[in-house]
Amino acid sequence: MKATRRTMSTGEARSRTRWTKRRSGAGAVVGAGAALLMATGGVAASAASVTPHRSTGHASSVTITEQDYYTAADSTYMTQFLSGFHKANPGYTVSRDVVPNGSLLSKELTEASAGQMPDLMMMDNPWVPSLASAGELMPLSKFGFTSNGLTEGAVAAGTYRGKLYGIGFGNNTIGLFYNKKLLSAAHVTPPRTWAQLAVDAKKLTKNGVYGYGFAAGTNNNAAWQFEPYFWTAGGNLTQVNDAGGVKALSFVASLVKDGSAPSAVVNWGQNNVAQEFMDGKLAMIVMGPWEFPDFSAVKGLSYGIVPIPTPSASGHANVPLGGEVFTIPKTTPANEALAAKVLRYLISPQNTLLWAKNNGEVASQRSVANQLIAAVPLDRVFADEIQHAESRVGVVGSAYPAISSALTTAIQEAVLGKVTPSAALTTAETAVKAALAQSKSGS
Amino acid sequence: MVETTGTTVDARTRALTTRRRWRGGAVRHGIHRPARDRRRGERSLWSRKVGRAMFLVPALVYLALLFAYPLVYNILLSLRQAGVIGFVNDSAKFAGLANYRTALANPALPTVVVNTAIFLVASLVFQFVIGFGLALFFTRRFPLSGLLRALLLVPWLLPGVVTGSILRFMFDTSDGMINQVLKDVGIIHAPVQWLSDPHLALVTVIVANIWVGIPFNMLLLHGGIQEIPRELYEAGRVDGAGTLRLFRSITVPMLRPVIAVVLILGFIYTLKAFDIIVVMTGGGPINGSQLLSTWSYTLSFTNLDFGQGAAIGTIMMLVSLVCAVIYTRIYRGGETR
Repeated sequence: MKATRRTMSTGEARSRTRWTKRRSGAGAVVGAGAALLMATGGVAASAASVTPHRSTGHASSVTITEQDYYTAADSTYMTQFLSGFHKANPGYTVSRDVVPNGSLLSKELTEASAGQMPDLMMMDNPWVPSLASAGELMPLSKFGFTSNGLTEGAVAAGTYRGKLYGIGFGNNTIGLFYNKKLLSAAHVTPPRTWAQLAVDAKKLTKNGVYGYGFAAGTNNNAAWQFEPYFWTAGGNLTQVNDAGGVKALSFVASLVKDGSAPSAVVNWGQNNVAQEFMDGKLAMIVMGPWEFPDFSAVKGLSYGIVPIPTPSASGHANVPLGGEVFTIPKTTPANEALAAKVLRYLISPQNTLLWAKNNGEVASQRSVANQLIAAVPLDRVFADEIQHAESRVGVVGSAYPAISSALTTAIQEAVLGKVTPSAALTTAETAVKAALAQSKSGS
Repeated sequence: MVETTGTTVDARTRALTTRRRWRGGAVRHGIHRPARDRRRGERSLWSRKVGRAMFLVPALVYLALLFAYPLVYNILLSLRQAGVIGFVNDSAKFAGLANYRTALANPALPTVVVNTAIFLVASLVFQFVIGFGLALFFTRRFPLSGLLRALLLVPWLLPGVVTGSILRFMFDTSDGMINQVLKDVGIIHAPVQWLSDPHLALVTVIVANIWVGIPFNMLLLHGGIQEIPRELYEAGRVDGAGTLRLFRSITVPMLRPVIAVVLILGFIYTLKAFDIIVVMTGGGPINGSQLLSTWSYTLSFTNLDFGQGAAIGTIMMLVSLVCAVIYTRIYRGGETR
């Protein structure tokens, strides 16, 4: 559930160049395999070989198609890995199709309905049940992949009804990012409980800076950012208006009501929240590790991360499980086998390490994950949080999109004070019931 | 499509009258033709018909592929219980009018319909009035008028996504240029929640849509005004008519067909307005700026209920169809008058 930039802003283009420059330095640190890639490929070559097969390909070259929505710093790695595959297997080239996050699902569904799917298809983990239940994805056990050695999160992300359909580089979730300078200027320490969060946010709100910000705009970011509060308070996606749900929504709405968070949150996706944070206009935000590269590139921005605050000092936050997986759509046996070959190369331990390290994800492979947690302190927060991560679709399956959408409307209503949190969730519950009934009927 | 129908009907009528005239002429002048010749004449007439029909083939193929197919597909989809699975592997069960019943029972529907109505009427009225005003203004020649007119076309030339993004920045509550300017000149004291307040969000997307639509109105009306013979105005002046009278009795009546075209095309363009709204508000907050077009997309691609989305799509299609029929009627009426 990464908030990849929908359109490539100039700022992002700039940050990506910075990243590319930094990367050559990072290459020396990582494993020998990756270092070899860097040496042979080099930055320029890997950047130029986004579609290498047409111009430089062999006459008998076999082309494998791949589709993903990595458009930020992570895009560079994807390109680098795929050209690495081409070098290791000169007879094969991978044609990469990058689609913005906002339109990848609709594109994949349209392709599936037309029977025109790519050989290797990346998707956000909540989409797996939808496409797997439609019978469009191959169980990965067919190609010898097992869930042995994967973290629990990675298994949950790629599994549907006991079968593994997808494997990715790693998993992520969201935590509370804070601007160190703003907090120390206001003599505030990062909050651990809801009560502290409310007090701190209020204290931090001054001089055009809001204490707290989150995404509540009309897309699937709103539910994802609300879920840590919702689940930790005991909320339930199949019955959204029970006591836990109302408690969580009342808390989030109160932050906007007392002015600690702007009402503009109802227009914000995660990318807007990240931008406001980088501009120094928000002191604390809900965000995920995929912003590490962009945040680190901002001069003068010093930030820390704590887990999402909980209602009481003891206990942990129940966070949603994020992370993308690669799946193998039903095509032809020959293409499926080729896709498996690419997938096996992509998720090699050294690629996974390089990826997880630089994108702040908890690596899918347990051994790599343990290695990283020891080395990168910021990752600790997420690694700890992910122990309690819940899959968004585990309980509600293919009804999730409609539930997420109903929840978004309820959040907006409560945040803007149009109706009480309880009334907002009761309206949402009607939609939730309908969505669950429809998903049970198997359409 | 509509225009094509208009011209083919016209062409057919003309062809008929021509043929009748030729036959009548032949009989009147008593020209005798041998049977063989006549047969050949008939055959060539038939083959000529085929020949003529062949000219229609490209248009028909085009319409069938790019127009009829998606429409029929949409209607069929709206009659099926198409969630993700049904949509993807084409296994959706036939559901009759269930999707329409569900859509009509959706608690968001009244809001969406009212929003769409307000959006349509407000956009059309303001686009038309401002566009007409500018069209009249530019009938006078003054230095740089050509350049100015060209610049006014910019909103229409920009892609909707670009316009939406720029306006989103401008209408931002805390950093937006619009709030800043209003505050500096002292009109407002607290920032206006242009995009965050559900009611204001609708106003804001309407303003954006008006801005985009003005050039279209101006361009067509300006073209229409240029077509009005100057002599009419001279004659009017000789008869002692003032500017207002000239406008009411010459400009407006002479422009009637153009006005009808502008309004009806404007209606259809406004009904399907989509990209600006999606970029600026995403239909939110709380469906505050949700229109039938964005709602249909949300139902299909956010809630993944393709049957519902298609049902709304079909309803919009019917509304457009009614307008298209009115348009063809007016257009034809304008031709014969």
